Amino acid sequence: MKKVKTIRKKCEGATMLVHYQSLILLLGIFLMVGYGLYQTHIRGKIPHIRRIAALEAIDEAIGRAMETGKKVHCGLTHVEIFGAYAIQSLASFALASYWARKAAEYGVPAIYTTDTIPSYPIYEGLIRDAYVSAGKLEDFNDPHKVQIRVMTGPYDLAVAGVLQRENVGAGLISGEVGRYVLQFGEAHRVADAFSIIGMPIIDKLEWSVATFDYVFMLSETYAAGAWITKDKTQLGHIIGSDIATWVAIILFIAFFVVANILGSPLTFLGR
Amino acid sequence: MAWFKEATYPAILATIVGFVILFSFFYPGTFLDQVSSKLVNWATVMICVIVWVGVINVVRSAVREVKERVPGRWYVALIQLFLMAVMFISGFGEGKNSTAPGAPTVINWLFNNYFYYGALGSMALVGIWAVTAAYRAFRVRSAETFLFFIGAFFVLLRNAPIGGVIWTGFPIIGDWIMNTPFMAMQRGLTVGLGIAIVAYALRYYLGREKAAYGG
Repeated sequence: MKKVKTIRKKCEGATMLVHYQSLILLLGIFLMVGYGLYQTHIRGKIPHIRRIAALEAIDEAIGRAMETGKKVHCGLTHVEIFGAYAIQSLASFALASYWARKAAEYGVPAIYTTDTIPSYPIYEGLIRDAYVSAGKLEDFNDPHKVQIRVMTGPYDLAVAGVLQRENVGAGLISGEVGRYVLQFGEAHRVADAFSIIGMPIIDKLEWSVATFDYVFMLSETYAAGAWITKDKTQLGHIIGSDIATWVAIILFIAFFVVANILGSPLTFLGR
Repeated sequence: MAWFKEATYPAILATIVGFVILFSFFYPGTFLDQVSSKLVNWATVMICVIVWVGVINVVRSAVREVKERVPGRWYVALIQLFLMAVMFISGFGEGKNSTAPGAPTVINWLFNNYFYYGALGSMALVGIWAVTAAYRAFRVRSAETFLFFIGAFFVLLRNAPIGGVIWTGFPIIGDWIMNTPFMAMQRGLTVGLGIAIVAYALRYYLGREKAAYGG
């Protein structure tokens, strides 16, 4: 313990390093992700990833909308492109991209909305790319096939209006949905639309499970990109984050046991 | 300029910028921190430009819908264009302080009397949906939903003042649910989520997650 304290003092004094516990944890996770990459790239081990139900439901949702002659809707809410929610936004963009590609492949008229003006160009760009990769650029340019809208103000109400007015058969909502999750869920139910939600944050997760047909639950939202592409590097990251999660679980249990036997051995970690 | 459209180059740029900003957090007051502040300032300026790109795209799309008389939408697009023009002219015409709280300007009047109350009214309309959604959520269909119902029952009566009046045990049980099983679940999920976010960020920094720029 004395040695650890000396190292801590040296670190703080010599390099102005702060939040060193966070840095150690971060580098630890990076190391584990590196091990995951070693497994997939050097050893060629391709991991089995359990199917993500919500991702498979996207095909079903869009297919059903096509069969019933209805439109599909994809809405992104609070997708900030920098700041605290940037990573969540990137995960939501990945889901929207997949949704757009499937809508393009099936040829279903689609409506894309967001309430975040600065993200609009990125949103439009990725939808365009999805239609180009599906070989349907002419659909993207046809306002009867693709609508992209920015809807500020009470976004949940605006989405409800779109779902009912435009005869939408399936919808995806993603982003920092927060307390509006109930309204979004009910809007889909009232419009009789198949509903899927991407929940990259923990807030109101339980409500999303209760009101939506399918939910991308937390880390599933981040793993979806790897599942879609089956890219070796991305799969390596999944292995790494799984190892890190197991390490966290073991540490939780170990600290719980040690803390109950020795009192509080965590003075070093809890400043 | 074809090279610029390749997703690889934005990915390299994102990697460098991402790592600089990430590690500047651990070294405050150093050169890395100064570079990071500059980059964040640049991002703020870029967002101002991006807003304009968004406005132009919205106008272009609305004009196209009006010109092509898209059924069911052209008149909505027309109203949208009109309202955008009104807010734009009033905002720009009255200067940069026109949106200051209490300023006697047209844009403030429009916001406070039209947008604000309109938004509040519409929020009240969807309020009933929260009730119907809660009703659907609380229907007991399995063992899990039964547990969900029991937990929500005690927590609702803990938060509602009438709960403590009916029985003093409701706030105690509600507090225990919030502080013990709920907290344990929340912390476990938060740690798992944090790890997933770090791994995802690293994937993004290494340029393997290209969805945001069309990869």
